[in-house]
Amino acid sequence: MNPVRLLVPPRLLKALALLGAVLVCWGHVGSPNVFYEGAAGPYPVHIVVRPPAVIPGVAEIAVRVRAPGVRAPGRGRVRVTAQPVQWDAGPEGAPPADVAQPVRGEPGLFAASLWMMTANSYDIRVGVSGPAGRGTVTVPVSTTASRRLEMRSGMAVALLALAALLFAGVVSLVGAGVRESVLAPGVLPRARDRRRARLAMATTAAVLAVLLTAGKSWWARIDAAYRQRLYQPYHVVTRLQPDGPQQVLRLIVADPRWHGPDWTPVVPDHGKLIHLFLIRTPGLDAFAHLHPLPAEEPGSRGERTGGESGSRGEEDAATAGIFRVGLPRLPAGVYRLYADITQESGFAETLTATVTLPPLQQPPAPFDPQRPDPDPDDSVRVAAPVAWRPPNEATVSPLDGGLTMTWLRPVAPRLIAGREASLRFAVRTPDGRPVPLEPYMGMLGHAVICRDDGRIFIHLHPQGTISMTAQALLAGRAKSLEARTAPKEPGSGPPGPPMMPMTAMAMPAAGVASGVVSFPYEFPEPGRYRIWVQVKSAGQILTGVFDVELGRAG
Amino acid sequence: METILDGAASASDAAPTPSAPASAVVSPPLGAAVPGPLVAAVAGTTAVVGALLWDISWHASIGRDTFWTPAHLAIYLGGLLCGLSAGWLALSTTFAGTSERHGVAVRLWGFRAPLGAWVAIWGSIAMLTSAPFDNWWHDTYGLDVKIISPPHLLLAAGVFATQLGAMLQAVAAQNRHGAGSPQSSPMDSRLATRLAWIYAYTGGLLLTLVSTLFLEYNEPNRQHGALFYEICCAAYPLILVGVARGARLRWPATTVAAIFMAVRLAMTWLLPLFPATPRLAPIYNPVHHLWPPFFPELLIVPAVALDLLLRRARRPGGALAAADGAGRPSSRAVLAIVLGAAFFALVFAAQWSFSELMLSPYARNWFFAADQWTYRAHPGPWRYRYWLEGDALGPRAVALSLLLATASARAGLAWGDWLSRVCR
Repeated sequence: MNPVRLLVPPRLLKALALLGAVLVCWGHVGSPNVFYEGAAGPYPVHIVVRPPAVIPGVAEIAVRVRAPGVRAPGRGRVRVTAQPVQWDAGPEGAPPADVAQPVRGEPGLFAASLWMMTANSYDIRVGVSGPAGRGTVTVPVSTTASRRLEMRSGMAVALLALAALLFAGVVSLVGAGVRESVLAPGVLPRARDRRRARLAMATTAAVLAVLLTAGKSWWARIDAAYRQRLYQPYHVVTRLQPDGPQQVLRLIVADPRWHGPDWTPVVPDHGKLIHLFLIRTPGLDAFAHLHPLPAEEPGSRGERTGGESGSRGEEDAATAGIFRVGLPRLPAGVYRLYADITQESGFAETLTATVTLPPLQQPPAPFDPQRPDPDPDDSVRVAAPVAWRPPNEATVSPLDGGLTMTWLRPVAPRLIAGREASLRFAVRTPDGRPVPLEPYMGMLGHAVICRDDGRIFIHLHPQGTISMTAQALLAGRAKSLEARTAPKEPGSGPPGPPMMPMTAMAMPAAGVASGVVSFPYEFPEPGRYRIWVQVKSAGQILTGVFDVELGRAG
Repeated sequence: METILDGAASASDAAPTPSAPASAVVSPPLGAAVPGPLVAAVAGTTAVVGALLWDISWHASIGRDTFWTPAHLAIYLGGLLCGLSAGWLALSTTFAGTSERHGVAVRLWGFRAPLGAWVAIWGSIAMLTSAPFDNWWHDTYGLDVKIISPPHLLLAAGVFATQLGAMLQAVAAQNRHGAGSPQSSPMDSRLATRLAWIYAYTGGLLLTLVSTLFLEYNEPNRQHGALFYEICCAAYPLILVGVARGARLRWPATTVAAIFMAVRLAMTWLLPLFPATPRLAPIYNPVHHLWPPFFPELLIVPAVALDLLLRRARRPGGALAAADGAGRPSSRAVLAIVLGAAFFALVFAAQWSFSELMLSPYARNWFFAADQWTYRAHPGPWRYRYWLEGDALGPRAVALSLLLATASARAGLAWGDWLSRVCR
């Protein structure tokens, strides 16, 4: 019996189907690989985790250690280890770390394979030890089963041939057994023996056929159950309603798995519970990066409660899975919605939906201190529809105030799908001087990459694709678990919940002054992509827009 | 010429007696030693059964899996040994066999070999087929966390066939020898006894194999529930009655059950001597050595009763003998009901109370291994409780168990009577 079916009453399913917007479910939105740029103690590291598409399955981990001693051949005293830690089992429930093997011909690059046993939030703990001491870094990885392998025709033919041989073998064996096995040595089978053998063979063939049919339907059931377990983001429905002069968008998580056994509360990631991106289709021309807040259903207890009861109400609303955001001025049209959330378990995912915005009416109301939105970190950018002009894609994007953002695209190696690259962008004044950057939600920059069909979407930072909160939570949880198991010192209280102040995030000083921001990424598939790069300078949020079309490698 | 006795006289002093049953007409046709292919088959199946338990223990304590774990290799090499020895037997019998050897072979697709060899060949092909199928299965649906999956059932069918092949080779060799015949030489009767024991041993391995297939449904925690008794009643009377009916030992079912328990206990006591560390997250239970399978079912208890009943059924004059001897389907059914009821009653009596011991603190030691859990087992009081949710042992379950035991015993009688006549 399928547990998901048990959890969802059919009436609710019907209601879900009838509600507002159509949902799109593209598991992790097409870009599962995890990139991390950071440091393991004294060693700058660049880590790529390629999670398995099948759970349980093997994750491939590549660690590039950027330390001076590592590159010199013959001095490979750097040792890299990788360990999978499932969030709720902690380090005690983790197997011993695997030693990552140096990759031949690539000094400083180490590779390991780790088994991921459940669809869950894992912390890949990468340890580096060498001349400069030891260091560890936590890379959060959310594992999900995302595909089902089809059997290749050659293999299917070979297996079918063997199955036919085995089938014929059983039938013939039964025939031979009935015909001859109990005859005294040397006695030849009589006509009666042969008749009985033929009857037994026919019966065996019939029984086997029934068994094989039953086996096939058993297989189909296993397959259906597996497909049911394939990752699907929580179902989200959208509702649009005017609130004074403004359109208010509600996101309602209408999914019985919300509050299910694998659910944990949503926690803020760089200060926001949700990072919501609206991208107009089909041109990807209008873009908004918003931060909805928890809201209660209209009609239910105090939709907008103030003061102390407000925070309690918000917490309830967040738990209930209802969020609202006042929309900025956006051109009418169909928008794809991508909502990045991180759960307390460290499981980070992107919820998707669509919404149709009506034509613009009045200008939005002036800022009202009673209203938490618009969030000052919300931003909008409307650009020309996605276009590709071979052979020179525009590498300069105009920003507000005469500033420009330039994509520092190297001529070689060529940017191709499936090959990792660092995407570097420089913000300059009209006279070409670098513009100093300041933290935008604790980050030097945010990049949003979306393929024109909307099937690939990613929100990343200079540190990579990971959720910084998930990293802090997992690292903090490990520490608190260690503290719990370590002998208590007098006066030491219980470890508090691991929290990550926004200001504590890494802000490389060089990037701040030079106005250059870079993002590690690998375009997973060929296609036409749009990249929005968001930085902040002098209190202004600046969004550069770039297009790129990628071919397949080779 | 209908019987072939070439060389028989030189191989044995025993002369066939006209009054002897058909299976005992011929003295050892293939020499006075246990045939080499039979030795290879028995060695192969021993390796397969031992390695299966080793492999399950590996999955339960180390977890990480490639095709190339020693346990996997032992399973496949054991299967290959059975298949190759049988293949050699088929080729040598077909192309270089004497008429004497042709006389104890059955024909299949133009080739000649003893029936057991054919079954073993089929089994090893099935095992080899399951390997790429299982690999694809892992790639598609993930590393298996359950024992029963389609490729594993194919593997199980293959393993069963190699096992059955060894058993059929043994029983045919046993049946070709007129064991206990007064004319037998001491050497001949020693060989007959040896063959009878080899046959019982292969029967014990078969029983072990069946129990291994149900290992994840037979924990002591389930032994107050319905499923456990239904599985026992469906599976074990068939093997115990069937093998016993074909055996030439005084306590055949008891011997078979004792061999099953000995093999399982050997694994229970030996496996934990080897250190092991889980290699997969999450680990909810720290494991430091290979996981031992829990103490086996006390099948020796019902087996003694089955032996006594089967012996009574052979004794002339008694009510059971009337049921058995009449040979009519209805009379056999009476015997099957008696055997099935006895089996259920004794399994129930033994396991109901023994599982209470297994869940008590007295069983948490190396002997009973009741405190040994896999690395994925969460700690908690559930470990030493009965898992009765949705598995209550009510009157319906008892009736079903009795029905299954009767059907299983009836099938065992039919199978066993055939086994007692197989001589090729």
